[in-house]
Amino acid sequence: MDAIVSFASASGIYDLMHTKWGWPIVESLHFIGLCFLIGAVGVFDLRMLGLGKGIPYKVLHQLIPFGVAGFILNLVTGLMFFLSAPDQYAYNPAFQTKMMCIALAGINMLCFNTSTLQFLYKTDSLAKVPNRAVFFAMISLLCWTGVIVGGRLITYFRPPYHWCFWC
Amino acid sequence: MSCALKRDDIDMNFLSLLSNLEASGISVWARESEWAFFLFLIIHSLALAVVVGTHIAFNLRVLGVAKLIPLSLMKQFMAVMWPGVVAAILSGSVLLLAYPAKALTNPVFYVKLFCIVFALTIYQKIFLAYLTASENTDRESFSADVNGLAQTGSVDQVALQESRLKLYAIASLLLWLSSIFAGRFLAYTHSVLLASDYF
Repeated sequence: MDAIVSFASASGIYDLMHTKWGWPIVESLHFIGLCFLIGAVGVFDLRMLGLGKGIPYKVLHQLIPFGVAGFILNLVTGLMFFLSAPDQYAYNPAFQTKMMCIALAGINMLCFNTSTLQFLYKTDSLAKVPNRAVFFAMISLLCWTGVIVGGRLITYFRPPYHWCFWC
Repeated sequence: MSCALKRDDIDMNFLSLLSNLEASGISVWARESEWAFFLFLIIHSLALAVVVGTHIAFNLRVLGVAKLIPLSLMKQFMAVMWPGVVAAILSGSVLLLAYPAKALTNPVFYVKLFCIVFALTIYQKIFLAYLTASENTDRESFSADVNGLAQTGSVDQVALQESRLKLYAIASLLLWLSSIFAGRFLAYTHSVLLASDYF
């Protein structure tokens, strides 16, 4: 924990985040990254749930790089929060749940990409969505909902007044 | 509670009105309940993701990403957008009722509302109107073809129309991003927290 704080101080991230508008600007960017992620990934999930029939999966997938960009933006801005107040995150049950949801979303995406995406590319755009694609889409939407709920609840828990699962 | 603004600087009639609002049952509940404020914050964030997310996808398409998708099909994803707007308005209203003076005495709040209304208007009055118009044109040119009177619009005109739509898509994206900045800054730029602190 001390090492993280001294890295944040040495790198100037701590000072940047504690300037007058540092924290709210980075928070706004974090929300914007989230919208790009949901706009691309969430829309693709909706397609697999039957919305937008007739749109070929391969063409719609061209939106995904914008979702990845949103995720990277949130990785960077999220790290800036974490490094500037690590104790408020590491011991926070909302943050821990959020991280687990992200990990689960990642695993779900990897399984989907290796097992189903290529198959969808060859599927007729008007055909019924295969059941396993519906399953992956629902897991994905649930995970990202969990990420948003967890993220929003981080300030509800203020360590050390609330403590983490294992403390 | 400290009062950042002096009494002389603010409209006391307005503040007294807001102070009465703060005393109402729903306002006290939203403010003092252990979980209510966070519940509505969560709903507001999820609604934000749905509304801005779908608009980002639609605007990117207008800007030429995945341009093989007809706009009329892309429109289908906007079916989840309006329920998102309703959820955002309802949750936003409760959050507003919890601390009415905090938002209503802050110009940033009106900037946020303006951005949202402007962006939704662009979607409704420009993009949807364009789609309806082009559907009608399709039908007309179809019947014209049938009658052997095919008249195709000039290529220049189509290109002009497309570049105009792209400008609106950029405006819409900027408005949504601004509304997010304004919304987040509401928590940091208020000068009054509770009107009742002044009485």
